[in-house]
Amino acid sequence: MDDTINDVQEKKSFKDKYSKISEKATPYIFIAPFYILFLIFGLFPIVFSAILAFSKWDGIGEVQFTGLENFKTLLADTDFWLSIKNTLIIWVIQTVPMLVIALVLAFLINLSIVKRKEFYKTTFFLPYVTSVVAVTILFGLIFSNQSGLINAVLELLGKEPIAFIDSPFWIRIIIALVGIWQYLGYNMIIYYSGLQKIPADYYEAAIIDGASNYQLFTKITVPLLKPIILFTVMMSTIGGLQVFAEAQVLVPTNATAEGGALTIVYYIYQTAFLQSRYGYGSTITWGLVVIILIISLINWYLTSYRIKGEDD
Amino acid sequence: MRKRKKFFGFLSSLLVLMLVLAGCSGSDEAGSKTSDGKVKLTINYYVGAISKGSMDAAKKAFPDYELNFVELPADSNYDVKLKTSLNSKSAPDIATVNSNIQDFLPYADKFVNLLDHDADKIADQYVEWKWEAAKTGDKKSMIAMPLDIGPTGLFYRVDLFEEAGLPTDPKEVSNLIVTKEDYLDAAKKMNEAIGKPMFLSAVGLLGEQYRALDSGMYNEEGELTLADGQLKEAWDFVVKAIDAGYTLGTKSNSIDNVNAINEGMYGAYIGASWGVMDVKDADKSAGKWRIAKTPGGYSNQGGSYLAVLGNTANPKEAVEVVKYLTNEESQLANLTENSLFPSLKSIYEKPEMVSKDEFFGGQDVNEYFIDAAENITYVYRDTRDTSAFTYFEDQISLVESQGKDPKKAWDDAVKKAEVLK
Repeated sequence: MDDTINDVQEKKSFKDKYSKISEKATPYIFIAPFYILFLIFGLFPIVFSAILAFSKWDGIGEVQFTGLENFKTLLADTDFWLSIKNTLIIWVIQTVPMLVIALVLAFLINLSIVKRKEFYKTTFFLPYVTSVVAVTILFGLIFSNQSGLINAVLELLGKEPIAFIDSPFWIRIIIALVGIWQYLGYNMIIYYSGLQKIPADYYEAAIIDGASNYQLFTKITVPLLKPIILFTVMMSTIGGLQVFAEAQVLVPTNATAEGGALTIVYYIYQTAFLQSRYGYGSTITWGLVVIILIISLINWYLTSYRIKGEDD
Repeated sequence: MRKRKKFFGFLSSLLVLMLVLAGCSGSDEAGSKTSDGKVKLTINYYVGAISKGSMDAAKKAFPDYELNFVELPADSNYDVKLKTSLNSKSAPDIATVNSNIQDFLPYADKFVNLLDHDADKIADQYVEWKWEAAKTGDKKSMIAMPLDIGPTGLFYRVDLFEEAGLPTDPKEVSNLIVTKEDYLDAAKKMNEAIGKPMFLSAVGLLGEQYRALDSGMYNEEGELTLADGQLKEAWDFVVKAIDAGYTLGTKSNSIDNVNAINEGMYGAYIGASWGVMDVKDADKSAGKWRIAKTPGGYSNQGGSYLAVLGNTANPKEAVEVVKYLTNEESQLANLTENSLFPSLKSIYEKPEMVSKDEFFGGQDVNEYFIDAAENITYVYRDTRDTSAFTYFEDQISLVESQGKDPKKAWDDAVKKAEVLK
């Protein structure tokens, strides 16, 4: 008799325990697929590259631990600093004009006098869905040293042709141009959807008070779009600092930091994949991580401080 | 009731999880045998390395094996993928390796040693320098068999040579332009007569010189010797050409280069046998090219090998197939279909070797390539050879395109090469 009661209790407690565990575990199992994929394709590579940054590895043999040697090399590596300079220059001449133009375009399309909004939106957005490589090849043809369209025009005007691809000054501008052409529409669409959220009453009130279009833009549109502007600046920063394909397609061989076309990611690619120095390549990558962090923090600090409306 | 539902929910989510995990792990054993007991062999090759005729013949010759040929693009990723697959079970059984075979020699233990499979018995049938380059420094193991080679000749424009008052007949050109100094003199003549550059670019010119050197960037002890000082001579030669304005400054392998050939913008370059196919892309220049003997010493550019990877389940069978794919019949098919220059000496006597090409004014294009193939010498190359040389290419291109001081450029390149480990 006692035994059976005990049995029942034991069974009950086991069932209770089990149901408790299953209740707790079920949601975890449901989100597991994402986490498993993230562990394999996200976390593992990050951890592995952190280990590699402190070692020497050629991709096949043993990973040899070398301590801080790679980082010492990195700080003294003029190519690294020059490639950062190249990347920052490209990033600035690409991002600033692009975001300004995108904002102005979004504002113009949003004006009530503009008809066929969908047509403009689609047309401007189209470059974003084209292939980077194809677009870059096209730009490479236009700016080609010998047979390029631009040089043909220059010669027609009786001017000297310019070696765009060989000049450190021009090559950065061309890489930036590809970026502007490609991401202008994307940012414009983001701004446009932000503009949709601004209540029309503000504009109507301002127009009644006799505000010009320029005033509407600077006094209403821009201040109210600040969170969106912050978002696009952040995204463009992260993307712009990782510019690679454009440089690699325009200057496929003998790209040098001095030549202007070597960006940080291109330098990582050269080091790790072309010279099989995976350890030092990882070190450069972590250098890039630090730089992106710093710039994002500065961005965030500047824009969030300004969003609070504490600017005079 | 509710509990049961919960239990089933728990069970089904577990099931989903297991399926996801199974999907991730994949099949690690591709299986070395097919269902009907045939030996399965996978052969990875980059575009153009093996001709269709030779593949079909191999499939016929080995009815008991299932040969699976996989074509991959010939880009810089090919080597990266091959290197990373050396440790994995999903690697192919056989793979093509390019003429940068020295990059793989340190990992000879990841390949099947062909010397254990009587490869040395047929060694004397192949050109020696190509054969030896597939062996490790101690000559104890050989990781690949030579498929084809890339002996070079001087490709030159008849029309520009004529205008410049230079000889046009390949024999005469070969007799006139013998050393690299003669090459530079011819460039001078062309520049003075018609104001056109002889050379494509500084990088191209330095590469031509580098391939003709009789030693590598490093010695066998792994010390950086810069080809015992010969690289500096080659460098100074190129600097001279740049200063005098004998280079056009266009990159090889670029669209601009095809355009430059089409328009006859430069006079000559040293190209490999397989370049005969490439130059035909510039169809406007048909009939205007000839090939003479390479000035300044014989050189080779490119040419593939076939290696058997150590992870293969059927090493014996794979070696058989490699031997077949590099035999006379296969190389003949590669020659006639893909213009791949044979590494087997016996083929040089064959009628198929005579190729009178209208694009080259009806000249037998292989004459000087055969001469080169038989005279090239073996050069020891360290694994860092290509990387180290690239630094010099980078710097010479800066000298050409941005007027960088040649001495500073040289010092920068040496500094970079010295820290390569």
